[in-house]
Amino acid sequence: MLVVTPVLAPHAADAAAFGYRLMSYICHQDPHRSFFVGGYPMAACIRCTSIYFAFFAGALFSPFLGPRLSINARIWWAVASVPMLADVVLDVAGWHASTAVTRMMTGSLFGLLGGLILVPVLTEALVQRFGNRNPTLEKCT
Amino acid sequence: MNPKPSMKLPILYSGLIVGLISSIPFISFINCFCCAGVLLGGFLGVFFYKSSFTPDTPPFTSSECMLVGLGAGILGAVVSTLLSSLFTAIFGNIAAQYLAGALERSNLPNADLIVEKLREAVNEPVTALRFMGSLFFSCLVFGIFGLLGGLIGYTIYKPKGLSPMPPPPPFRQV
Repeated sequence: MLVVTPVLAPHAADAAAFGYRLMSYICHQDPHRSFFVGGYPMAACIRCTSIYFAFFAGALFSPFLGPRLSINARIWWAVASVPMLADVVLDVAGWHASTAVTRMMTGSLFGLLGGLILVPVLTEALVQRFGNRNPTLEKCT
Repeated sequence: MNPKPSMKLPILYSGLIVGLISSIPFISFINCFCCAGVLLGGFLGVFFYKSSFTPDTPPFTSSECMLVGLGAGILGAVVSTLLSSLFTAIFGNIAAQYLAGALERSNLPNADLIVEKLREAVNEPVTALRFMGSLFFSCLVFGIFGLLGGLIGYTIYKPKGLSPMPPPPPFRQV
């Protein structure tokens, strides 16, 4: 959705407008603060885009690193969120100019650690809720 | 051991908080930051749920926190859609007007599409179809982000000594 919407914009304006509208629920979509694809802004700002892509990367690596991070989750949440919150708050206060690079770096850090911490917990919650319905694993037990 | 407390009240409180945060003009801008208001609501739901536990009750689990966050998100979506429609009917779409004005003043290339879209949103009346579409999409998005907020709450408040993942089942050759 993030990438497809600007790609569609020159060819199918209605579909692109629908995509922008859907994503407007979760992002301000300010073109000043967005990546551009083919001359059109992506459907979410740089920070949100970085969070989503990094979350996906974190989800991929979570089976290897996630359980270790989950043990001290509070510390890792602080590591993930303090730089991003500082970037936002200091920018709003006028003490530091948030740039595309700082938004991308802090958003990526938050997304990556978020994916690493949350995906194992989500898996655990789904297994608790719906049980293990994998017939291969059931056969083993 | 005491039975576990009900999830209804934490879901109700946090759902109302999500609904208010997401519908009051300008305060709702917090959701422009990756639905931070909804994440906060799911997190608060777990906080309220955790607060109703006593030392005699069994510890809360990740699936319960997931359900509390999900419930808070969906209830928040319903409350937010109702209140937003009410505010839009009374005051107009103030937030969209503000954003469209800011974008027009920015003189960015290709910003016309978004400005036009926002202007359309400002002028559109609240119809039943639009209300239902908005409700459906809000429930979907708020449900996902509320669920994530609930899981964030679990990772922060989870009882000490619990394994982050259930142990794998013992392997027996067939």
